[in-house]
Amino acid sequence: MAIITFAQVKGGSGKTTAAMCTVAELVARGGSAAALDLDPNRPLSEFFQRVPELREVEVAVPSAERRVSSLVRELASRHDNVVIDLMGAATNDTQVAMAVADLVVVPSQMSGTDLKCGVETWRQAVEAAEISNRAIAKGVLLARTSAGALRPRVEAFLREQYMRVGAHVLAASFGDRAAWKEMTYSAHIPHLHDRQSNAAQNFIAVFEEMMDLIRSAVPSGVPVAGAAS
Amino acid sequence: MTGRQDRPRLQAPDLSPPTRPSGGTPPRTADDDPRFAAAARLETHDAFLRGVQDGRVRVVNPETAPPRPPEPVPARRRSPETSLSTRVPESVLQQLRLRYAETGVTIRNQILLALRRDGLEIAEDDIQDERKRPRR
Repeated sequence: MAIITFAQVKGGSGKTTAAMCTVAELVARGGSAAALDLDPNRPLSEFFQRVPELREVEVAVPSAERRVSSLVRELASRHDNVVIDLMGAATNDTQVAMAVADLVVVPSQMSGTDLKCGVETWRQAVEAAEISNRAIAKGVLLARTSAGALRPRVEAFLREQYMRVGAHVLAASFGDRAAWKEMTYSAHIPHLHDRQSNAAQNFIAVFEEMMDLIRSAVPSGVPVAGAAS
Repeated sequence: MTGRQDRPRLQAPDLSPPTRPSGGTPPRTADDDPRFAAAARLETHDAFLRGVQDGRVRVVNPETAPPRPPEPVPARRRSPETSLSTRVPESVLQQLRLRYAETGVTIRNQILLALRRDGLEIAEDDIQDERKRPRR
């Protein structure tokens, strides 16, 4: 059972798209997945309702009566995996959702603001692990990168900058593809509906690396999300 | 051809599922799961205030902001207050002022406490000085 949190204190970095894709991949692999939507725009439940394979995914939203940790505990008691999508800001939920996670993924696009906010988010994740006194797998996911074979100079620069502050950057990145932009309109999820497509292969590579990160952080013998593939 | 009848009878093995010592599928989360305890510690009002003070929290999600703890119930006097004006030696007033400066106990309370020690019935709630209560 794994809890995966997508966090970035800057909005528009790719958190929600990555969370949607992760839930879809978990379902594609036959695992049970639930989501906690901490974005007040509630993009997850609306999207899942439009995809027949994801219609049954339980999406929890916060309420005044139940704290985030209680909500996640309830979801985790019923499902193999829980995916948390945060609001794109430094909110009171950010570190709570990190402290409860097995894996924190920090999506980051190429701009200087993305980098600065990504580093801040990374540091909050490090602190959350210290406060929790346990290992939390973490990784920066570069998003909207060039989908072609040639990587632009700025991507290499960004990787260097993240590594300079000790952040781990996933080797696979979320390519800038029309499939992701159209996904919420078409309800077509490449890795759920066309696993041989380039876009599907792109996200599967990202997902595999996320699972590797969890495996490297948890003690051996503990079951890991997505391992049912 | 009688040999075929002498062959031992085949017996079906037990194919029922093995019983687990725990009596079934283990629960997905244990009561003492450290993930939830750590997160709950960050959901208190104090942790929220610390987050705001050190800049980690810059936007409050009204749906999940921890509620402000209830303020202490103000002391209730047994009877309304009234003013008392009297004359005392200057040296006594100076000592009362000095003691206030040293201890923070107001002149009013120094007198009330002294009277209580002398046997007057003065309740603890009556000692509370409402003039010193922080404004809301």
